Amino acid sequence: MGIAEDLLRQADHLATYEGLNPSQASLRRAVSTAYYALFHLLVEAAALRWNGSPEAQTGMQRGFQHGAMKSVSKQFMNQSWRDWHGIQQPVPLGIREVASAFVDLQDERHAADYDNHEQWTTTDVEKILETARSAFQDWHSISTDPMAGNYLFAMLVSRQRP
Amino acid sequence: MTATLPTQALVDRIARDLAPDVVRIRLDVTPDWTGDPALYFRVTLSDEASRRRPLLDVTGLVRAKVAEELRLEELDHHPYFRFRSYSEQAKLQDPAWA
Repeated sequence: MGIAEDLLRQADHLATYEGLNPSQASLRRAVSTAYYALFHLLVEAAALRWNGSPEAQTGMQRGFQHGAMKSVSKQFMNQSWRDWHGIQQPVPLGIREVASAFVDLQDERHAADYDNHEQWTTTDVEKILETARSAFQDWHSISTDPMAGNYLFAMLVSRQRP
Repeated sequence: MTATLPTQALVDRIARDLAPDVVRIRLDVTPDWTGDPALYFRVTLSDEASRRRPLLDVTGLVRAKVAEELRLEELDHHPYFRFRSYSEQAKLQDPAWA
């Protein structure tokens, strides 16, 4: 089991281990952890497609930047995406769902980590955890699609793309 | 035509359409933690709706209806949707949700 699945399980644990009266700290950490679970799922998937050395894979994973990944994910939420040949390619529904979840979860992670104004509840956090679980399922169903590779590569190189 | 900022009255109408799953939706137009313009939709769900799984069925429906009817994509304000159950709000007594 990779770190992504571990983080997803940890997010569930953080949200539930205190029972009916979870602390704000646990709920916020659950939200943040759910985001990082999806982040690592995508970054690990990209590294697995790379045939370089283990250290090169590690270096590649460090090349992913949160802001750029969100920006590219917004592009892949649309029904089509302009590829590097300038051709509009249809984006499978599963990838659109993963991209949408990534954007949502990153926003939620920022709110959980930086917005001290909001009181979080189990209902809100369960909705966010469902978003993450659903994104994992979607990813596993479309990860071999060529567009999944385009999505990962676009997130890695988006800073260089004009 | 450009969408205008939503009002609480418009949001109330949407909430009524979503009853009984939705008890109320409170709108707050205020900057988010980064200082960017934002819309906060604080959605109180009925206890029955908040117990259903997947929860995303009802929360997704609420989000989609609000986004469509208020044309949120045309606005510069970033929308945030927060959900809690009626019982959770009764316990917290949060004025922003009342």
